[in-house]
Amino acid sequence: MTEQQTHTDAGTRAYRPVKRGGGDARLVGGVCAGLGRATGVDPLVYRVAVVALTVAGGIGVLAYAAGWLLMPAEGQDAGLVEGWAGRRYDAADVLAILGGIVAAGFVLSLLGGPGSGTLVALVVLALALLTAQRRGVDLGRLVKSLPDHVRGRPAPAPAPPASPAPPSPAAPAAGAVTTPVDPPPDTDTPPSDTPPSDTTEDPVTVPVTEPLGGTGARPDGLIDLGAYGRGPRPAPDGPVPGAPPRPPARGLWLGTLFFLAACGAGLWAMAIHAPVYGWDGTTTIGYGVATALIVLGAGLITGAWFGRTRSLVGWGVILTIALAALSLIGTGSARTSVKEVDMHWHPTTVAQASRPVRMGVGAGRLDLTDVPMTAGKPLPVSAEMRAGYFRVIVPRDAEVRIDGSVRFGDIRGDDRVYSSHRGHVRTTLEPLDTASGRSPVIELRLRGMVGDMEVRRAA
Amino acid sequence: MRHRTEPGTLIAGLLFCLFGALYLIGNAEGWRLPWVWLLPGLLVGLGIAGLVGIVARNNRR
Repeated sequence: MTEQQTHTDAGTRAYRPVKRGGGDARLVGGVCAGLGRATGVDPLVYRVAVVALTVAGGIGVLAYAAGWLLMPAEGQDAGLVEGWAGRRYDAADVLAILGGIVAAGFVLSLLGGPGSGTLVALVVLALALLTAQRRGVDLGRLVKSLPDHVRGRPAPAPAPPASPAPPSPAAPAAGAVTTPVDPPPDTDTPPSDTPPSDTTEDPVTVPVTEPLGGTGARPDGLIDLGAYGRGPRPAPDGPVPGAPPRPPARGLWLGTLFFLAACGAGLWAMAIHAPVYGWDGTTTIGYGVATALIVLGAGLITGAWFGRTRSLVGWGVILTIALAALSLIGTGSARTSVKEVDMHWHPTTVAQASRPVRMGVGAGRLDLTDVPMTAGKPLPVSAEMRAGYFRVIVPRDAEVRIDGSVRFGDIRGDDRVYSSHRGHVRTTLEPLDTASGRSPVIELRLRGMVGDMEVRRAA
Repeated sequence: MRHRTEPGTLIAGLLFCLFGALYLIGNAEGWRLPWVWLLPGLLVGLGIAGLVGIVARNNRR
């Protein structure tokens, strides 16, 4: 029997497990050797990628561990995860999951600013995608089918004990899991011409594709990268040959109910805070997202006992990411500590104060209290930020003429909120202390993409 | 048919409730949610939830 067992559902894409390499090809766990053998790529390429990703951020270790858990060792029918979960992951699934892990590592490495890990993950990911695309992989379909790859497919039911059953004209049963003793190495397992007898659905077929590299026969054991992500994938939760029919899903209404409740609760929370912060202010959105997240969580907790609400997990993940983004750009009153300021400008001359201040991502503060200003002579000050929170400290006796615009966020001045999402904010903050007579004037130009910008009086 | 308890779903639900509550409490108290730890916490939490779910399902078999 060949190393790559071939379980074939009638009319569906062949299931080709990828196994960890053994023998001489194995250096550590055999993951790279197994991937190399399955894809026709030198295992050294995978090893270099794993080492580079490990050194540059640690995601390589995670990806390698995932591969080790997903891929069965030689001589085993199922990997550890497959055994635990009762699912099966073929080479396409494993490659998709590992690619997803590297992509997630790339995204996470962007948090806190891009670094060497970002660059390495980007290069590895780009090379992998380019290679896959050159081999005919439909990347768009691959991304869409990633959840299916993560779910894998149900494990085949254990074979009944061998018995001398009389031959049936219907045998081999359509859809049965077959293990060819020695499948032809140069062809895909052809779909059976006989449709499954126990289903009325049209069989899902994947066209037989060109061999790797388009040159002749595909060596034994290599997965068909051309078919990877190109054709429709059989439903992972579809009927398993030989397995008892799955009971219909129950309690789906509960997930829908909590989803709608989460939307309603989020809108309600936003409606409460909108009069203060505006409908599209970060604070308002944050309250709405957090409230919706709590309701989703309550739905999942309820569904743990009374129904099926696992579909809410995806929405919860999305809302949590949104919450993290909102926490990153700040929510006004939540940022009161000077310790949280990442960048600090403290000009002491008019010339210094007149230079534009530009901040990328983070929290910044521009302190104008020590700038010697002349009454009646406006001091032009310009501050720009991409994302985060920016505070300008001005003297108590200064008149501040604000010309501000933040695309997604608020402008605050003297504890008032001016939403500027659909235009400029032009307002004047009158001096709080006029004991000295004529007040100096600050012409403050504020520009921001995401986040809040605030003008605050010196203590 | 009686619905079996799903501990993985339960943990995921508790995780989301915790995140949402922390955000609201932080806004009210004047501190902010540490976003740097939010996504790793999410991944770790969902990973634990998945593992617990797998183990529980395996034990039922």
